[in-house]
Amino acid sequence: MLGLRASQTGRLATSLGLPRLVLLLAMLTAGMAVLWNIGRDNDGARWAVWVSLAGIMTLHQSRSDRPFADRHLEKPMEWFLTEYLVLLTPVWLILIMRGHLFQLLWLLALVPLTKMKPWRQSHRKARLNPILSLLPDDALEWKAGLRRFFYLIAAVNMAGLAVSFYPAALPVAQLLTGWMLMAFYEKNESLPLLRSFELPPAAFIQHKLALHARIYSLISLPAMLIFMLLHPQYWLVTPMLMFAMLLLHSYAIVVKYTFYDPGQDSQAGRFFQSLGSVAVLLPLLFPLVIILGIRFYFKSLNNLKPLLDDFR
Amino acid sequence: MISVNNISFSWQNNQPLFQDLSLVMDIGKIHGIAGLNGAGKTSLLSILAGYLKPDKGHISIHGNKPSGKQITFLETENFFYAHITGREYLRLFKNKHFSNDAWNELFGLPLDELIEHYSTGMKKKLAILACIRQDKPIMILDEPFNGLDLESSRMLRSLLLKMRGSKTILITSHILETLTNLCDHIHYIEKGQLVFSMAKQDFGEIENKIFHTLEGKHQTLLNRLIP
Repeated sequence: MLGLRASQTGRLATSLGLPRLVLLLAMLTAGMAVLWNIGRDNDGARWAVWVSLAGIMTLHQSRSDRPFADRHLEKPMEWFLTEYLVLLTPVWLILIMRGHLFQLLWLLALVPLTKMKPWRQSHRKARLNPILSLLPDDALEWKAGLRRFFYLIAAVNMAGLAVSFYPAALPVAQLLTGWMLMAFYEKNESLPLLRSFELPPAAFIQHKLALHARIYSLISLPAMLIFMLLHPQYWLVTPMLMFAMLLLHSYAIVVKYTFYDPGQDSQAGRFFQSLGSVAVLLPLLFPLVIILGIRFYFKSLNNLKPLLDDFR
Repeated sequence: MISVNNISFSWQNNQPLFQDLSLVMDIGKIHGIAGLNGAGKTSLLSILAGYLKPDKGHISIHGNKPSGKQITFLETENFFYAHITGREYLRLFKNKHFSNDAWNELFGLPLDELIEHYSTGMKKKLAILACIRQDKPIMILDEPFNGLDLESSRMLRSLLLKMRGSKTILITSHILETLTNLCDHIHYIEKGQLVFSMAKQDFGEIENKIFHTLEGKHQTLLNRLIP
């Protein structure tokens, strides 16, 4: 398995190409610097531990190689835990270096929580059919994505509403929801699905962007209005946040179609989409994402041209 | 008439798959594309459907460039979003001339179930339904019978025969009998070349024509492996 992981990492590095690899390393270094900075005080260290644990839990729930590991490894959970501890190296190193040993113990004690069986939501997912039928027929990513994340998105927003008397509560819920929505555009559809719209490249991308903007604005509206009523002095915060999120979602859409390969996962696409996800937490990256987004818009048109040009 | 005119195609860094391949197919008929594994059947269909561009040569339909508006393509492997229902998937393939949802019930699929619960055969049926719903004059079906149960295979066969005349259908299959029972013409390709095209009245000769050369090759190989 170690050899397999090493060759997978090697393939990923090769498929990214040198400029993207350098960008990835720069991002990791920036992430480490932020983590180092956050880890100055106890509150920051606690935040880093909980965010890391949430990340690991999400990764464990969503990874698709669990059945493979269960079948072919003698002790799959031990393997997963080892992987997670390796992934968390920057976190525990910084905790040691900053002397937050209590937080380090928390981290080490809670990582095995990933042993919990993944949530089985299949039947609950099908129960969402009546709600999702309200969405337009072509909002396929929304239908699939909401089935994946509905309960998580609902929980985050309910929690935000429950403590909405705190000014930060609803914007944080909005931020987390927007972050989860970026995952809606991870998967590449098949070519028949792409061509079912019968639109040329520019019209197709614009349709996708407009459809997303319509649905997202509509579902964000109730929380925005409640926030404006409760905290009128900060009324501009949620519309600004919504606008920023819309830009990031548009970025995710154009990245998807820039690296679109029918029905296949694109490593480069995943990488640039994760850059957008990171920009939610690191606003410093935001301008870079916007510039890349404009560039990717034109690149996505070129990528789709051979596939959709006959609908002109 | 669908004309394949001197097309050449090669995958990146690979041997050429087709070199100056030419083929003519009548409109309103069922055409079978036969050939060994790796002969280029799927690639040829992908080129005809406009999913792949030939390096050289061109395809024409009634003298015009083929368009996605005329052609529907059933791929061997279809990728679906796992978390949508069959009905949601089919709704994407709507055609203003083809709004009859009764077609959805053709294969008795549980359309309100999530696609992640579908078997391989059920996914194939869903993809076939999506092709039918598009109601385009040319249907290109790559291995449409793979994964289908006996009843559905029979249903599909009857359906394709009923569509003959109103649509031009191109199919591939690894089972020669499937093609001879269904097609008006069979085009056999090997090593990137069209070996022969045969009309229905000559199908009696087809087994001899294909297996005559293969038989000798297989015997030589088997004799070498098991002296």
